Parts: sequence; structure tokens; C-alpha cells
Amino acid sequence: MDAGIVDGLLYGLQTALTPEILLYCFIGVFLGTFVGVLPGIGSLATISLLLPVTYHLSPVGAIIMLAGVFYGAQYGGSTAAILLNLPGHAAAVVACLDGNPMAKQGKAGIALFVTTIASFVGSMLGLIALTLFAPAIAEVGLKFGAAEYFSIMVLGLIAASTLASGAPAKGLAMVGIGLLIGTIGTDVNTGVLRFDFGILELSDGISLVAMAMGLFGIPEIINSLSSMQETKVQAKVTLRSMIPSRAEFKQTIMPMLRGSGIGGFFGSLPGTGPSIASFMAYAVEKKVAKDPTRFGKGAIEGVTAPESANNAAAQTGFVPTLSLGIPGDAVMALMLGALIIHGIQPGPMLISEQPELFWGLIVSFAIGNIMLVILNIPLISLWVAVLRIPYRLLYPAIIIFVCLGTYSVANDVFNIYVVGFVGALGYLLLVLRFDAAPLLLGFVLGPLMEENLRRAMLLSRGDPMVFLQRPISATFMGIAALILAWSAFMVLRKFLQRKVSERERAPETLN
Amino acid sequence: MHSKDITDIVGGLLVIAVGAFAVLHAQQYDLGNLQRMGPGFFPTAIGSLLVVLGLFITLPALFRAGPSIKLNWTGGFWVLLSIFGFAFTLDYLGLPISATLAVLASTSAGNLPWRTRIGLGVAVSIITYVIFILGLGMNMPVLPQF
Repeated sequence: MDAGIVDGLLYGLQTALTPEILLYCFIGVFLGTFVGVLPGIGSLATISLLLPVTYHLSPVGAIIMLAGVFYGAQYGGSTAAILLNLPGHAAAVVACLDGNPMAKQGKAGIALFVTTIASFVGSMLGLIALTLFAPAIAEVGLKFGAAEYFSIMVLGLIAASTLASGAPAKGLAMVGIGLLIGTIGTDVNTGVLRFDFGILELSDGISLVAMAMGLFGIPEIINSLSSMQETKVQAKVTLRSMIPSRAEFKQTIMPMLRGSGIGGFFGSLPGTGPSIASFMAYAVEKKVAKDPTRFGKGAIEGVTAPESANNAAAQTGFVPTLSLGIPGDAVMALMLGALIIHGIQPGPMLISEQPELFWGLIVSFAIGNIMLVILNIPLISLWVAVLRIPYRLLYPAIIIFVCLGTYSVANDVFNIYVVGFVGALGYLLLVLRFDAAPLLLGFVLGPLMEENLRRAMLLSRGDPMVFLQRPISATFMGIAALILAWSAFMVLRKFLQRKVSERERAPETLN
Repeated sequence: MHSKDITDIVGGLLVIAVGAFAVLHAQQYDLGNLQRMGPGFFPTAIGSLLVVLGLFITLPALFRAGPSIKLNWTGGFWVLLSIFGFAFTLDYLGLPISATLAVLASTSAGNLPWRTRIGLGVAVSIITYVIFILGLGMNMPVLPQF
């Protein structure tokens, strides 16, 4: 096993150290940090915008760049959170809790330095986990048949929709709608055109880019318009002010390790990602701390552990995608989509059939993280300057970028209309408090799920019990059922708690 | 606050509507049987599931309070107009003019002065020209063609 890993790493070095790949890696992490710093546009929107651009690149280069955007954004998101109390994206919210108070106390430089180091440590530990576990899991995955694939996709979708946020019924409904939208177009098995309503351009289905931009980019912009404020950057940041004292640094070591462990674990599970990882790490730090009251007021552990967690999670998020071809969240779904567009079949064979892709990715992740440390420490003033650009000047440009990005997929304005339509739908979903991420997951997995369902049924001669008869498949279905039962239980508990508190309040209103 | 959770009531009804539509529309495709599923099988199955889920969302919402629905009508209108307008004008008016018009449309949602808006439109036109046409080599009309 060990020889295999060393061989692989050497192979990856060969692939990743070419000037072309290094350039794509750099562009990816640079854009990622930029986008992570900017509130209002996240790595998801950027990755979908870059998808058409990556068509012209080799598959390795494409994924390296897109991945760079993803984990680069984890570095940048905390910058805005610390300086402006404005998280660049969901996973950075936790950085506001203790990071912004630190900035207000004049320790902005230290907070920024410490979070960068924490991000690096988290990424590296997550990367080691990815290197060790992905090939092992792929070995297991090679034994999967159609039934197992279907079951694990069901598990992934149920986990993603019920564990994330809001009511499980709403999350599941989003998956369902995503699955339906995925059926638009030509049915691969029978060649029948489904749900095309006579529109020629729909015969290939709705483009992934248009869906992602419409669901996440546009609604975010419309939503931000109603609450645009002028934001003041907290403090002047110089290189000298960034180095923490020896005591402070010692305080960060255990949180970094704990955070990396938590992040590494949660990142590899479907349905959980950097955001949940960072929240969990914060909660654990608070519980483990000798003086929990310091949290929320500038505790350095509260800033480092979540950062390690979300970066570790960003790396291990690739485990299910690369080893089994199952995306854990919306961003991974996009990565999968990018692979499929390049003609690469995701699944357990990926690592063995495309070793330069897997190992090249691993090595370039390491290189990318090193680039990010350089980008984030000396270049911190660059990002601070970026933060000073008023949002009301940015969003019109973002809209045009979105339109042109989707146009470039097929050189057809039809896709721009699609983005507009999906954007309206996406905004409606946002207003009605639906989480759009499960929808994108369902959309990407839909065709794969249907194909595996059909094949499983064909092989079992129409016997649906096959999913429970085969042991691996039964395990996945069992876990999925447990998650459903647990979610139902939580909903019931919330309902009962509310009834109890209503009854307690009632006697007062009677008086 | 309302005595009923309108957000989820509307949301749930929407889900039911989508599900019902899918089931009804899918009937024109061959359903097949369990062993050989036709094109209509999966949409019918998912659509039916959606109707059930929609009921799970709507019915409890009838019995609990919830916040009112907050829609940014002006913001949504201008942003969507900007997008649809851009799509409509791109082939006829070329990139710079379409982009400038689109920027003017989307900035109508705020209160920037006219000069800033036009300047922003020109800036975006130049930046997108450089990135998309020069840098990425995309094929796109630049001048108006009637």
C-alpha cells in the first residue's frame, strides 16, 4: 500500500509541476481567494462561471483550477468576516463570532495570520486523509453494482437534504424537483424527448452552468439589493502587526488539530461540508475550553479551530467524489458535472483508470495551499483593498458576467434566458425559505440515479427487494432510513416543544 | 407574523403543483413496467413523491404561525429585466451596447447618479470585451446589426 502511495505521489508531481498546470492552479486559488473575500458571490457561482472556460483545458487542468477556487475561497472567506463582520460565505460565518471582536480589539493582523496558518494546517491534514482513504474506498466501490450505486445515491441525497438546514420535507422536495428537472431532455435509454415542450434547445437538457448560476448567483444578488449597506473596514493591517505572541500561538495548536480532525471527518460525509464542519469545531472548542465565556469576545481558539475545520472539510469533500463518484454537496456536484463534460466517467475506476488526474490533483492541492499561504499573508493588503469596492458597483458587473458565462456554453442567447428563468425560480425558492443546494444535487445525480435504478430493476427482473437483499445496498438503505427517522423525530420534538411553550404562555394571556 | 405559516403553505402548494404537473405530463410517455422502466416511470414516481412531500409541508403549516413573505419586487424586476434584456439585445445590438443597457437596467434598483451608471456600463463593456472576446476568444456580435 505504501509503495503505491509514494508511486502515486511521484506520478502526481510529474503531472502537477508543469508550468501550464501550475498556472491553472494559481488562477484557481487566486480567483478563489478573491471570490471568498467578496461577499455576495461565492465559490459555487464562480465555479459554474468557470465551467465553460475549462472546456478548452485538459481535464486535469480544469479540475485543478475549479478545485483551487473551492478551497481557495475557504481561505478568503474569513478575511471579510474578521475585518467587516461580513462572512464571504456560509462557512466563514463562524469566523465573525470571534474574529471580528479580535479585529475591534486591534488584533486584526493576528487574527488574519492565525486563520491563514490554521487554514493551511487544516488543508494539509485533510489532504493526507484524502490521499490515504480515497484509494481504499475506491477499492470497496469497485464491488458496487447498479443496486449499490442507486442506494448510495439515495443515501447521499437524503443526507444532503435533511441534515443541512430547514425542514427535512422541504429539503427532500428540493431534491425531487431537481431530479425532475434533470429528466428534461433526451432519455438516454430510450431516446425519447421528455419535458421539452417543443423547444429545440431543450433536447440536451438544461445546462448545468445555467442551473447553478440561476439558483445561487442571481437570487443572492436580488436578495442583497434589499439590504445594501456601506461597510467600513475595521483596521489598518501591516505585516508586522500580524505575528502573534508565543503564548497566543501555543493556544492555537490543539484547536487546529481538533478542528482538522472534525473537519476531515465531516467533509467526507455526503450532505455535510465546510460550513457544518466549522460550526461543529466551534462548538467543540467552546465545550473543551477552560473558560468558555471568552468565546464571542475574541477567543483565538474560536477563530483557528473552525478555519482548520472548514479547510480540512474542503479537501476531504473530494473523497466520495473521487473514490465513488458520489457528490457530497452542490460544489462537488459541479465538479462531477465538469468531469462528465470532459468525458471522464466518475466512479471507483477513476483512480485506477485516470491516475494522473487523481494524483495530479493531490499534489496540486498541496501546491495550491502553499500558494494560498503566500497569497494570504504578504498580499493581505490587496484583499483589504478589494473589500473597499462598494457592492452596488460590483453586482451589475456580476450580472453581465453571469450572462456571458452561460452564453459561452453554446454561443446561444437561449442559455441567458434560461438563467433568467431559473434565477426567478431560485429567488422564489429563497424567499419561500427553500434551500437550493439539494435541488442542484438532485439535478446532477438524477440521470445517474435513473440509469442505475433501471439497470438494477432489469437485472433483478423487476424485483424491488433487490435493494434490501444485497448486503451493501441494504446497509445504505438502512442508514438512509435511519436518517429519515431521525429527522422525523427532530421535527416531532420541535412540534411538541412548541406546543408546550404555547400552553405555558396561554395562562398569562388569559389574565 | 401571521397565525398561519404562509411561507410554507405557498411553498408546499408549489411543490404539490410541480409534482402533479410532472405526473400528468409524464403520462404521454411510455410508463413500462418495473423490470423495463419506460421514460415516463421515473418522472411519475418522483412527481407522486413530490405531491406527498408537498402535503407534508402544507398541512402542518396551516396550524402554526410564521413570518410573512418578503419579496424584493423592484430589485427582482430590474435584475431580471437586465438579464432578459441582455439576452434579447445581444444578437442585435452587439456586446458593448447590450452590456451598457443591461447595467443601466440593473442599477435602476439603487440610487446611483446617472453619470456613474453610464460610466459603469462603459467600464463593464470594456472589461467584458477584453476578458471574453480578446482573452477567451469568444464569438459574439460587437457592433449593431439590423
